[in-house]
Amino acid sequence: MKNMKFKLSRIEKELTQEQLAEKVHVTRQTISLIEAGKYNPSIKLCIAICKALDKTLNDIFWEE
Amino acid sequence: MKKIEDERIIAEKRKINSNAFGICFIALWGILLYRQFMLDQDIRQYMDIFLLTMGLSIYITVNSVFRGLYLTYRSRKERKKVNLISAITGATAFIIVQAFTLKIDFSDFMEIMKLGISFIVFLSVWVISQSILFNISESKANKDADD
Repeated sequence: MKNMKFKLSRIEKELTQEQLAEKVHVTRQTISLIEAGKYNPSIKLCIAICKALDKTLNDIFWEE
Repeated sequence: MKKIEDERIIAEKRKINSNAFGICFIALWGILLYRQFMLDQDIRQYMDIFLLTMGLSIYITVNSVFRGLYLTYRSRKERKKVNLISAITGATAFIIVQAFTLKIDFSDFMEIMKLGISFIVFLSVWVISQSILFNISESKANKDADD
């Protein structure tokens, strides 16, 4: 299932996948796979993403 | 240039390496059994492969036990049952192999007795060693969890 909240948060922060990937030390493909819901990131990476996007884990990764 | 630390790539690489190791490990056992039973080679002729295979097997077992990963079933009762079934299977296979390789004469009562004793010894050693390994591993896992 696609993670639209993650994608919208990234766009809201005006970051490209490449830029966010660099901030959290992963490749662009990993960011793309997380957005597409094809990769489950570790809690460590989730936290890094949340910090980079100024969001909480709930804001991005909690499914309604 | 900065090295990639992407957890997804690292995890995938580990998975590939682990699969490759698994294939090599099974192949090593295959080669060992082929040389022993099909080619009837002397152990000195395949000592290198024998030591490598046994070394790897011991390494895997020891690491699993001392890291508390040598756990199969949650309930002790189920674990005992599985341990006994695997011991009986192992001992039966051992006896069949022994009967073929040593060309046992089934009309000789003494030879059948020897086979029976081998079965009991194998079964006992298996059950005891497995129980010890399970107990060590469980106590290690509990210790890590309680720390």
